[in-house]
Amino acid sequence: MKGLIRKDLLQISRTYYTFLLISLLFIVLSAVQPDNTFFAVYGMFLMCTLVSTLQNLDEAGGWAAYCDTLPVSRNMQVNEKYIFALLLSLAYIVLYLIASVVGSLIRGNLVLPQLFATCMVMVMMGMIGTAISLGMSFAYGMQKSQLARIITIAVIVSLGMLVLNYSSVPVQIIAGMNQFVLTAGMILASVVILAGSWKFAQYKYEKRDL
Amino acid sequence: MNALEMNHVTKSYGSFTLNDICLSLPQGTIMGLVGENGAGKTTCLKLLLGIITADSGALRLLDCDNPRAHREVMERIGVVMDDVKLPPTLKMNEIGGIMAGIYKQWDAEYFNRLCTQMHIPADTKFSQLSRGNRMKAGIACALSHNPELLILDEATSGLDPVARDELLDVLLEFTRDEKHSVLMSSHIVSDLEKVCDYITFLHEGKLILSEEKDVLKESYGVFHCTPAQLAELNRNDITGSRETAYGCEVIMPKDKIPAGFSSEPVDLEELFVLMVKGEKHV
Repeated sequence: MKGLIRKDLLQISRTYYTFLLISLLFIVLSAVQPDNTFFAVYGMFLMCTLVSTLQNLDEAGGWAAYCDTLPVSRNMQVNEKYIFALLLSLAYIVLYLIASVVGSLIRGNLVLPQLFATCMVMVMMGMIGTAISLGMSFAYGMQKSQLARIITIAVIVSLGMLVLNYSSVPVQIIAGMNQFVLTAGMILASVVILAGSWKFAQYKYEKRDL
Repeated sequence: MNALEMNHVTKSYGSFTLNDICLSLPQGTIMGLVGENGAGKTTCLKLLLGIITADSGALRLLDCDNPRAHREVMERIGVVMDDVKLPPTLKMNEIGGIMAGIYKQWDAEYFNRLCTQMHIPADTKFSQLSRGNRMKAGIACALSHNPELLILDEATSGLDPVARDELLDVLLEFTRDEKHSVLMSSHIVSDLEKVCDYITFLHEGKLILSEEKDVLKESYGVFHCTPAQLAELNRNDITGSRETAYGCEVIMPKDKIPAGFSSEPVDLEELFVLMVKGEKHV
């Protein structure tokens, strides 16, 4: 596992350093504009897609198949990528927190509840983004996963729109809920989605012919 | 004890079938797997490693029937497939660092020594190495964790004659310790002839011969005759034959060669070619 993480770190710094620079830029922008959470959350989304891109590169370049000749099981490959994605997300959140706190202290308007809320959204985005992008990459490979990802996102958005258009009850329920319970529930749901995706990826990747 | 065994292994892929393969590699020896393109050499190696599963039959590698499910068994094996696919943007020392994190028994000093000995450029990205150097890099990775069994698929192809010779020396050095074994497939039969103790011929998914090299060379002879003389020979005794503009070339077990014909020693490439062609023509 250590060797695989080391390989991904090296490869990401060589191949995708522009991605990393853009993500850092987003952190700086979100620290400068604390009311605008778009950059912070979108940067997190970039981090998630970066790891699935790395997995696609591993498959296209033959590294994934080469791993079959090493003492590296398919499960280990899946675990490493999920752990790497979570570590990357965590690093991004920590950097965001540092940048935001420093920016707020300079401006003299540190609002901790707002910072906490943004971080929670980022945590959820990190887990759900990783679940969708990596799950599809492992299950369907480089080409089919792009299509599968688009279809999944389209289905989720369509279902959400349908529910909201059909009835305002879900919005009223959410608005009436205790914020702590709501946040905890959403984090829990994200964890469940991530765990499901992780298991699904292990199951499908074990059976794939690389 | 055998380093690997295949007993009546069969595997079908579309129109190709690897049919009823039985072979074993005694520990401390080198076996060469010879066959034309599509004969089933790579399929055999993938079956042994557990990368693909057999339709029927039994396989054992270092006393384990599913090595991929046992990390500790894979730690004892070094593999080089026909195209080495290491991370393209990384340099050799970085690749060594990655392998050190993968193999428990990684010997960084030996890896560096091998890279220097095989003249693999240290400061060049893997994708920028020549095919020969990429192959050498794969071999260095496969040897540097002190494996008991080395599996090489066309590892000498793409190497120049000097590099091939160096690799063969490395293999001979590797098997000097009688715990180490090698299974290698190659089109270059002369390379196998130099280092192998056992030779296995595969043709169109079938095992046509698996024997000790010295026994093969002692058992078979090649002789020349006319087409009329060839027609008089017992077809069942002929291992392989070839008609040329100057007459016929026939390979037979030495004890079956009729009196009056003077036989010459057979080289493995000739034996393989005539066995394959013989199977088609006789």
